[in-house]
Amino acid sequence: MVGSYPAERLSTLIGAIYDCVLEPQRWQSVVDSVRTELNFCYAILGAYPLPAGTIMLGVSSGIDDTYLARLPYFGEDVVELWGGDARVRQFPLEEPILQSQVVSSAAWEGSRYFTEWARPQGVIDAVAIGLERNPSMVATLSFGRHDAAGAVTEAELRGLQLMAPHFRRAIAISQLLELQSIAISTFAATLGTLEVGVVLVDEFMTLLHANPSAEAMLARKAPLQIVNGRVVAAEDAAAALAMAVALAVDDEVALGRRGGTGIATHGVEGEPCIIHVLPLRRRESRPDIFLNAAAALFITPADSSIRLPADAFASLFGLTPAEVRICELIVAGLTQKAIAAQLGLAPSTVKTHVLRILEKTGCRRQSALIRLASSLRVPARA
Amino acid sequence: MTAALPAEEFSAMIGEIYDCILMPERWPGTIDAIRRRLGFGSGILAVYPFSGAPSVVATANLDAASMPSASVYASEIVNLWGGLARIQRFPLAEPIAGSALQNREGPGDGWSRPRNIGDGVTLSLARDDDRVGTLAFSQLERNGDVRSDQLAALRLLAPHLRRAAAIGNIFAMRAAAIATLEATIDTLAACVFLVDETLTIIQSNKSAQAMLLSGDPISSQDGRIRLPSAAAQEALADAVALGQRGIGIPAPRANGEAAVVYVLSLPQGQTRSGAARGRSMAALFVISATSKPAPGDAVALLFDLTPSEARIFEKVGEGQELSAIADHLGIKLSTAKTHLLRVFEKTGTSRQADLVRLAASLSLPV
Repeated sequence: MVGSYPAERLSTLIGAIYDCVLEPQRWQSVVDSVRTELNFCYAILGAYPLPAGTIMLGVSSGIDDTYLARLPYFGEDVVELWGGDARVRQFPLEEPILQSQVVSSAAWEGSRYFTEWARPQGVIDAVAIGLERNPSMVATLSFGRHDAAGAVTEAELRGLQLMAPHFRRAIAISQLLELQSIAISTFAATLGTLEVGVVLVDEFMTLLHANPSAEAMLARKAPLQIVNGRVVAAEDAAAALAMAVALAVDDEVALGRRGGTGIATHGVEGEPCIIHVLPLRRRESRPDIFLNAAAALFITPADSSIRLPADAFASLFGLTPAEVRICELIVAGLTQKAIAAQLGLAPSTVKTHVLRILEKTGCRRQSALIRLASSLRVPARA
Repeated sequence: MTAALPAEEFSAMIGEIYDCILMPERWPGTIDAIRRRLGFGSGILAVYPFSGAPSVVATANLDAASMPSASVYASEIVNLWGGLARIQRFPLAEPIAGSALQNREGPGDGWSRPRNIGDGVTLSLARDDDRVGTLAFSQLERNGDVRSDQLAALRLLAPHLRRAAAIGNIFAMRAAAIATLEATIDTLAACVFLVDETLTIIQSNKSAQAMLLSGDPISSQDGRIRLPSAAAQEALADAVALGQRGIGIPAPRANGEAAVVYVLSLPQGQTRSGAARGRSMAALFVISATSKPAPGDAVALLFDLTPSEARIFEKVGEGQELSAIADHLGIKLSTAKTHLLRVFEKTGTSRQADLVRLAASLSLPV
């Protein structure tokens, strides 16, 4: 392959390997073509997460389903054959290791792997290449040689040597891109659990991200909407919001020290809303990353439905079930009289409960209790 | 090159190009290696927005003495090639030699002669609605026009350069998205921990990092979340393991202040291959019973409150007693009552309890 091998063909093969970074479904055809190019009868490319987990990448070429299904049963046998786990770990990465050079023919022919798996398929030799061995992943590429193709030649091993670094690099890049997309979806899901609407904008008010609560607001076009690709507030608040975001860009420190700023506006039903504008700072540890987001907007509509974490609240303050029930109704805004009516209790009984609740929570008044409960309220969407 | 370059060296050169995806700082070295191997004078990789100055990614062998700054040089190259509109029409990943262009415009000899430049080649690597990414090499005058073997070699490297630029761009954009989302979670007053099903801390925001330092009420043991009470610890482990969402676990602080750890299980993502991801994750929000006032200016504007009324709104919203508020503000109780009645009227409420609920809903919950 080397020397006489046309550079165009080599370049195309290598390019196809890196195409798999963005289009992993292409691994199959890449493994197929390298296998046939170098005259092997089967090829297996596998990437496995450590310490355990679902296989990240598994591509096989030239093995029929029956034999493929039986392969896992010989896993330990193969490692044993190659001299055990410790020895396998010492093989250098990217280096094709020819089985017939590291395994005696007696051991090979005496193994169940040979008699039950390789020989029936006419496989006489194999090549294994370690591509990655890091704390979170192991990746290998291996090939089998059929009797009909004769012994593996030096030229074919050199061909594999040429390809191996590209397989390794492409898998490493894929792994990092995968980790990035996991991080993005995890952070987005975290903001997605929140009931408060969260909108991220750049200095031109371009929408960079909206959590589901905010998406619902944008869909209703209140209190924020998208106009010509820009996030804009309702007329009464548009200028103030734009100014606050501009301030976040120019003087993020000043705005941050004040804990951000609040913009008054109204929701779709005319309910009062505040858009909290918080400047986004770069993390000191990540100065290399250009952070194009300027501000995070948190939208809080006036809403009287405050959900109390009943169990945690009871446990924090040692409340009885009856007291928790009354607590919830107080927080929901009911008067003692209304609570008595709803629960079918005498007003005096309710009063006694309320006094006990205030005592246990250290609150002097009912409104202080509501304040306490609402500061601990469930932040998640229902 | 195709004949002269051994396959090993060719393969290694391609590998260097792809190394620039994760290590963009390697672009200058990579471009220099290509330049030397192909016999060009200097190289420059830059992104040209249709409006604004070009941003230079990397240069190789730019002679500081005879050259202007890299970005000026980049702009001059664009002029030399007949402007950005023309460059934008060049096919992607196809090297275009200057000497091959019909009706070449630009500064011409007056520009290139003092720089000893006889010819040059450009290679467009990326293009979208508002910018073009281009790699350009100059050919020293003594080497004559760009030769067909140089073009053939560049043509061979072009798809790799293009692919590396495209993947590198995605990598950089994702890194920026991660930084943005991280910064957003950092702005929250609530402590936020991301944990896996073993309660191992994967990520924590700034507030959470501060809490871990004090260990009150959450500390970390062998990298895992630790609550002071065994019962709470068990409840937390169960809630995370069962993938519960919105369950609150009591976690009083050492000084007796109430706090609740909310467990919000995150939906399991899918890998690109479609398999479920190995581990499930949960976000823990630690909410303390500290007062989180609604921004006073915005509240006043929202309900058209006078400054005195806004102060009453704020204090009553905190659950304070009216007589205490009057004392604190140095006003008569009757005056405070009048203000309060006006606040009730303007906010459409009728009880102090309602004002507390209104103020709470307008404040940041996290």
